[in-house]
Amino acid sequence: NKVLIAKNEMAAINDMYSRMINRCFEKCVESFHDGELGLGESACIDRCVQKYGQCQVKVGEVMQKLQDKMAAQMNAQQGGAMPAR
Amino acid sequence: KMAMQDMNAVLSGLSGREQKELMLSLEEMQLKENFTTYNGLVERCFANCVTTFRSKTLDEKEEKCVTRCAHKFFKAVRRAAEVFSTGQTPPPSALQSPE
Repeated sequence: NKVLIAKNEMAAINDMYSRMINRCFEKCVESFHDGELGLGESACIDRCVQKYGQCQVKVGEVMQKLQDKMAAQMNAQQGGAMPAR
Repeated sequence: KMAMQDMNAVLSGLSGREQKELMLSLEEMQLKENFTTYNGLVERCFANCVTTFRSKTLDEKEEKCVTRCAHKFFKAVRRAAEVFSTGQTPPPSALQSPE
């Protein structure tokens, strides 16, 4: 079971990584006249990666809030037997 | 929740060992769906909300957009699930609790 969880976590990271790369490439690299990354493109990619990470945090916060809200609602229904996560 | 009834129907046709195997696969699928949903949402909100890279941090407008995007997604999921499972359309979401 621990292997399952670890496997899943690695798959999750891989998945995030490839989505990020795809989006940042799409947003930062417009032309292919040159086979090298220009200065602007490089800077764009740096910032894109950082911003993507911040988006991840933001979305994670929303999800956490919703989970807490759901847990609180379940608690209320069960008469407060279980503590919120 | 309706899916639970279908699942019990499927399980009843399997041996104990097959049931265990199925439950393990189900757990694996559930875990995968969790991160796929999360990662997909991050990607979607990023693509729609973050359009410039003059700065390396999200500005206030982008932050708000991402937050709203995530909230809206889950509201849409909830609504779709309700319609799917009950076959009825709920009233417009203006009546639901604010985020």
